[in-house]
Amino acid sequence: MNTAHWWFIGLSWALTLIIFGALAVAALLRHRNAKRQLARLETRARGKS
Amino acid sequence: MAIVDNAPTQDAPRQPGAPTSLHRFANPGRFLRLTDNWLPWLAGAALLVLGSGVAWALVFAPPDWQQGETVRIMFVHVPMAWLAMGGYLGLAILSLMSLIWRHPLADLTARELAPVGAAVTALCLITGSLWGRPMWGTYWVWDARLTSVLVLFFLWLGHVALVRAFDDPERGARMGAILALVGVVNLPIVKFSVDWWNTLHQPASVTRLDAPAMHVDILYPLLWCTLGFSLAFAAVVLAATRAAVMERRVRALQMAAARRADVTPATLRGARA
Repeated sequence: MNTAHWWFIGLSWALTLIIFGALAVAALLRHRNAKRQLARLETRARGKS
Repeated sequence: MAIVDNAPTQDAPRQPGAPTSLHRFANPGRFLRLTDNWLPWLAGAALLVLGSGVAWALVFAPPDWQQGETVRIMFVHVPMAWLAMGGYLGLAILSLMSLIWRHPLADLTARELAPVGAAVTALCLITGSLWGRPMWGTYWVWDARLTSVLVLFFLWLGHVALVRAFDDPERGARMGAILALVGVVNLPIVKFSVDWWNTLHQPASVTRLDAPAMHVDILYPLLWCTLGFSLAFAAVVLAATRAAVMERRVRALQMAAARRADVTPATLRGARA
């Protein structure tokens, strides 16, 4: 079938999903680390005051 | 604009001229509390819609009578193009809020939005090239639509670089906001380039004054994928902005702890003497 260009289709979808996935994972990891660090520091600050 | 020096539960001081309803969200503590429940819902909805969208676009949608199976690239290319332009409009609105009202969260959100906007614009260009090779016989032509989207990509990259180029984050944010507002002139050029110039890129087929020029079998999965990618885009930007707010708060607390640690007994003795 000369209109089937699955190589281009697969590459387009794979790139999009991988890049979106990487952005999402990076943002969620950063969010989790910041939340954890903030909770720890606020508990310490509250304990000192 | 030290947005985290306030305790998270306190309201930010009222800026003259700022609308009250908007200003309520300028407080980082309130923003964190309000959006705490949104993020899991947003991420869950994005996964659900995108999961079904992938199946709809790649399996259940029929091939196009002209493009054949290659039309399936449109289900990622078009949402990326809309997000690139819509996201830039969002960046311009945030920049306006930052310059006029000094809305403190606007700077942070713009800073976190720009890398995601640059990524979707790059994806729009790449997927467009991958569609162009089998359909046009070339990956790239210097026509008005492709060139104006490339300019949009450089504007996103410029914003990413500019806001991070200054030691003073406030100054970087101001410069970034000015660049974003100047770059807005490119948006109508991108949108109407296919009407104003003779381009290889086809004219608008969904966002037209009359009915969309595509069959519902293609249109509906396209709109569904657009919804899924938009939710994912919003979830990523929201998570990054929340992380940035918390990181600033962490830095402020660490600075306060370091200042307290500086007041050692020796320093106190020196002060008494």
